[in-house]
Amino acid sequence: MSRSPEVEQRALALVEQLLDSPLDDQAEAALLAHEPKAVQDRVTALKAAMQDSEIVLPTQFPGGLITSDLSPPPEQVGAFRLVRRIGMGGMGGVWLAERNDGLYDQKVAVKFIRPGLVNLAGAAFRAERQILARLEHPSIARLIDGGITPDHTPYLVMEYVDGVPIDEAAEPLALKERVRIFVMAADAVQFAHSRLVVHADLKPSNIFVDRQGRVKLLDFGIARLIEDDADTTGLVLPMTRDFASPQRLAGHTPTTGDDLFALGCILAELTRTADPDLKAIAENARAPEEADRYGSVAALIADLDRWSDQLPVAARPATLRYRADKFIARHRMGVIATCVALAMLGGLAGIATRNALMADRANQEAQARFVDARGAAKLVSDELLAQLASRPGTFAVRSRTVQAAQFYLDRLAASPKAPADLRLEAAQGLQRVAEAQGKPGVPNLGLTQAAYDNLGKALRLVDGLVGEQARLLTIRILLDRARLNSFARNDVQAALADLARADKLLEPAKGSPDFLRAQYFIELSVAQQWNSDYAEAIRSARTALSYIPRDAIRDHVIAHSTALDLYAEAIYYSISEKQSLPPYRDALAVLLAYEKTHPGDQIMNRRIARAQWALGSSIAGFGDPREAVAVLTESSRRTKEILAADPDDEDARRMVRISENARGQALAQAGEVDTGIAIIRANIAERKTHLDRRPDDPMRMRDYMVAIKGLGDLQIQYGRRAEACATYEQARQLIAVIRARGKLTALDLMSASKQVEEVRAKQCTAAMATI
Amino acid sequence: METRSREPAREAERLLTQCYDDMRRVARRILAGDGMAAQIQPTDLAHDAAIRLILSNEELSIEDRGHLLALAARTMRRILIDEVRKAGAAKRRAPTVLTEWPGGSATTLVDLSDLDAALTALQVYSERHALIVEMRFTLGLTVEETAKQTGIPERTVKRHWQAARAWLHDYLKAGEHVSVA
Repeated sequence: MSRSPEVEQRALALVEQLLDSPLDDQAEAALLAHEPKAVQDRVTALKAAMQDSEIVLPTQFPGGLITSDLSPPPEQVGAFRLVRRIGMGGMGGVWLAERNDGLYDQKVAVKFIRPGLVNLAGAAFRAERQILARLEHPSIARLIDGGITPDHTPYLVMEYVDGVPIDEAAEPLALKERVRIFVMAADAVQFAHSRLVVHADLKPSNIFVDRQGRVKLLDFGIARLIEDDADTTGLVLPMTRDFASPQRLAGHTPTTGDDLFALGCILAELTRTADPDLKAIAENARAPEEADRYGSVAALIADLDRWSDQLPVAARPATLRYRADKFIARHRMGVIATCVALAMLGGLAGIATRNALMADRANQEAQARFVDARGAAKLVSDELLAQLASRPGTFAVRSRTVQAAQFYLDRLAASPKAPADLRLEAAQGLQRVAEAQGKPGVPNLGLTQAAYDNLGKALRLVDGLVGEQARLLTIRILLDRARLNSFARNDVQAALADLARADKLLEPAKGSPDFLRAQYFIELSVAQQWNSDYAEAIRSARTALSYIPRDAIRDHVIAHSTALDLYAEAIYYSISEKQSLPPYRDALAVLLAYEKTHPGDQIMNRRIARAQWALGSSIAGFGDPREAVAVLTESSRRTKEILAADPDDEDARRMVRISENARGQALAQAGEVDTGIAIIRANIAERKTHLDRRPDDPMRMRDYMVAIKGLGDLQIQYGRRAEACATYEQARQLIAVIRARGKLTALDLMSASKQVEEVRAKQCTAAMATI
Repeated sequence: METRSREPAREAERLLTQCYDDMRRVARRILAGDGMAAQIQPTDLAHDAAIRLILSNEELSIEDRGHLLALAARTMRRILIDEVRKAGAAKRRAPTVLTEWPGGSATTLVDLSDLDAALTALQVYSERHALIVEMRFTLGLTVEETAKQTGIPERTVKRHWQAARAWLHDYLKAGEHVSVA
């Protein structure tokens, strides 16, 4: 449709005029009578669209001024009858309600959220709500239910707590008792943190103490729940200034450190006392810089326990420790030189000093914990992660393992005056954790930023250390960071800078293992490809190949295949698609050869499936479709196997769908149209199952619908007109269902619908006639 | 005076350029997911730092500020589309990026490229209407905030917004440009 600017502008102006002062039909007709026909038509179209767009593009936006107050709530929400209002929070009103569906007696608090503050239909909100609903702890008020009222106000149903805020409850109590109830609250916070949930709005009015003296934390995770959805829309977020950390006030995403800060503030308020230890504890917890606070709520609790047992607390000498840390940071080179010199001057003096220090009981404990931490960190990062990564179905376990390792390693890294071997160990651990968090190309947790930060930390730890081990570790860290920069951060310049640094360190001819050089050239080739320097990328890949030992060591085999794949990709894009086939074939062959002697390796299996898909889809483009079918069939079989082992593996699920689709197309191309179509049908059935598991997920609905439409397109292409019409009819009905459910009034649905209708009109009336 | 009043705008534009890398990172992160399609909120692309930068620059004239905000919104959307295209070229499979039009209980999705095409078309006919959509929709500003940032009276902002969304809806409904993955 061609549109003229004059017509569009005039139509827009007229529509606005009509919006401003609505006219009756006659007057409107009179107004439009002077306009050209084109303008009249556009005004009619826009007025019609106006009706729809009320639904599609609502006037009221998240946090809009219009929604500053709530309309009176309904008398009943879900299974609960509202009794009376018990509060008015930053998010909306809170009501006491009773279950009245006759099942059992239950008092709950219903919290209404200002409309627009959160999109309850959002997948993120739903997922987060499920996490919160599973957060079961005696001191955490449970999230029971949630929903939307008929007038579109979202609400949350929570366990009702009959009690008073902690500051009120603390007033008549002795200091020791106050600390005791505070610790109960902190325990609950620690529990939630261990499940990766932060409260994000801790304050006395959110911590209740009931008549039995039990502590209950309210609104756990609620602020975060809403913020996730709303933080970019310029809202005033539910958070309380007095207890919010500087980081939080600056608009950062809430973290456990912010909860710790709030706890520090609450502790200070509850224990307004001259006790210097308690003061120091509170001050430590609410230090303005997060790095100066306790490492975790657990550490705060431990210190309060020591206070209760009248032991020296960690918070006090801490100031000294931090000063020492900062000194080290400022004069790293000097300090290390000093340490090295001291160590050389004689271990004896060192041991004596250490024993003297350890005479102190608290220090003894600290030392024990330190040894524990060191052992745990090593175990976790060296062994556990590597073992877990090669097994299917370990995403959740790996995620928790990484958390644990991170915790210990951060403690190691933060140790003042850490000796060289410890720093090396911590840096190596951090590198391993970073790999598990986000190394592109291997199973990872998708935590790119955390991985990047850990690599930075590791680099700082090894910075200035001397010796062969430190040099090689530094190179490895730089190579990992280069890959992260290339793949995940799209910062090729930073990747090349890291690689230049690594290159310098590789320089001494004496002792750089060939394989490390190979890895360097692989990363260099990756960065060059991203930079579109294909000639350079080809050269680097070939150099890498020249350094890789040809043996059956797993890492060598993977590197060998990776280098071949890089070589093939660079050729594919810069020289000719056809010439990329031999290296694609080799990249696959190397992996298959390894598998023969080492069957059952999941990571290898996935790599092989990927290599087959890359080769198969390339062949399908310009080679023998029969061969493409064979290779893609094998790829499908493998990805299905991987998926069967771990149904949560979304990457494998996607691979199955992609390879199956490619296989179906290739089969049709090879003349086996029926088989091809059958496979695509099965693929569609798989999507249907996927949808049935979460029938409200609009993405899955769309996936399903698009696949059906794709089948129709394929059938048309191969002259299966009758079948195509049946498929299109199915698509049409599905679109109608989706639309009726109101879950996906997608605008792109309209275009799919339009295409389907068009093809049906063109092809299917004729088809009907021939039947 | 003339040169002085243009300086802050140029300065802000320069700073905006410096945010490109960061925007690319945001876009990358969005695409890093495992799905065949990614679903984003329109404001996912409203780059905080860039917007704060513009809003906090008091030396900017009202027109410059509105212009820069719209530019920021547009740039971020284009970067994401560009990234999608690149991901497709590199690995021969581009994910579809759908964005969510805010609604009540129903989730309404539109392909990001379609939305961009529609907004680009609207901009050809009326720069002002497109500006209001960027402010209200992409950046999530309220009517009052939009009025404040652009100097356009509130009432006019409301009217433009209503007309613009009808126009966009009509455009997308016509659908001849629309892509289905």
